[in-house]
Amino acid sequence: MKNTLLIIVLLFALSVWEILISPAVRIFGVTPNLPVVILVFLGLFRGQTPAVIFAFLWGIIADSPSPEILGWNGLILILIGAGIGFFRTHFNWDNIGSQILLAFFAVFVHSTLYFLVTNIGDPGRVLYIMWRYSLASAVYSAAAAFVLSFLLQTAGAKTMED
Amino acid sequence: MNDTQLGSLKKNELIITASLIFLCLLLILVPGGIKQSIAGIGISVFYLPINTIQNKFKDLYNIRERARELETELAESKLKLSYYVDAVDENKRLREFLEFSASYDAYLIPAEIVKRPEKPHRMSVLINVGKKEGAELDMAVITPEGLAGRITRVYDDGSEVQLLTDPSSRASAVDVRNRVHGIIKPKATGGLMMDNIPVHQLVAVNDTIKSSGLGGVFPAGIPIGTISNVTVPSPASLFLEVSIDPFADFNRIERLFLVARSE
Repeated sequence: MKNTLLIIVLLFALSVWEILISPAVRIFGVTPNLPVVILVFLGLFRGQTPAVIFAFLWGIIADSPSPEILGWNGLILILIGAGIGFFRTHFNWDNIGSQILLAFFAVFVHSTLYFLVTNIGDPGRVLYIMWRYSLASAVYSAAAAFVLSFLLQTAGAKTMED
Repeated sequence: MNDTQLGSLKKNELIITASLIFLCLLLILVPGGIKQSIAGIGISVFYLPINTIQNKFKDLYNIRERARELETELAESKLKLSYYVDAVDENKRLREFLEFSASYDAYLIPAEIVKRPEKPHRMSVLINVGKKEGAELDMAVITPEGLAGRITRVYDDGSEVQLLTDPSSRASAVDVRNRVHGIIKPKATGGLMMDNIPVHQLVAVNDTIKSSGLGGVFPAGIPIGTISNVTVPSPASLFLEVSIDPFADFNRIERLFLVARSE
């Protein structure tokens, strides 16, 4: 119940972020990929199930403006959520540095796969976008992850243990 | 958590993840129409309400911006209106002077002030109209508002105008309402006064004073000012003390006109 409420709140908050705040914090066309950062922290702190449910629902919301690719974003996010669920049990993620690194790679992988799906017929463009946006977005998102990680640690939150 | 519970949890996670992946694949594969319907739900639940709120805020911001622009425009328009009102007044006064010059067989020579008075005991200005332009000694000088003074020195390219406020200035004047005559001269405390009015004369505040034409320097009928105060200095006084509020603002004279008589 607690997780359901959290997911609903997060979905609305991220919708507000995507529509209202994200354009305002854009630097050279790059914005932090906050949904993926949230997914990472949801996976680490709440477990795999809430993470993949969140991933599925946010995937549908994020793809709503482009129905032709509906499902792809959700699929990529679920795979990332599942990956975090798998790695969560293999390493200690309580360290801020490791959380930031995980967020960095998650955003990079998400952006690259998403651009690959949406630009499948133009591999040259994918490469350009990968360097121009995926990497930059991953760096920017890592900064956001640092803030979130710091806030969670200040609040005394612990990563979930099996 | 024991191994059986952990195993069950893992199994649940796996089932949920696999189901969601299956759903995603299904979404990818369903026809465009169904995709549109599902996307429509996402848009109407999440995007449209937020967009509506965003637009409301934008509208509010735009209204405030527009209000600021309109305030600026209003201020500018008020300034322009004030300027036009002044221009209309000036135009009216100039017309009156033109009519005056026509009725007196005179014409006006426009002049600009080159030098303003520097000493309080000598209220004269230097103008850029001299002998060459038709200036003559004792010629009356007016502003668009009223009588300003007379020419006391004439040079080739300029002239000196003694203002009515100069201590030695005198001008014959008449109360338009009751034709009471007097002499306009400066007050020791500043401003103008009308002298030589016997105490029994019924001059009153707000009466208009014009030049009388007596003395031969100033043509008759040039507005000078209005009576601002009438007092009897003492019970034994023979003359009234009449203060005049001049039409011409001697502190802010910009343009002058010489009243030249036609040949």
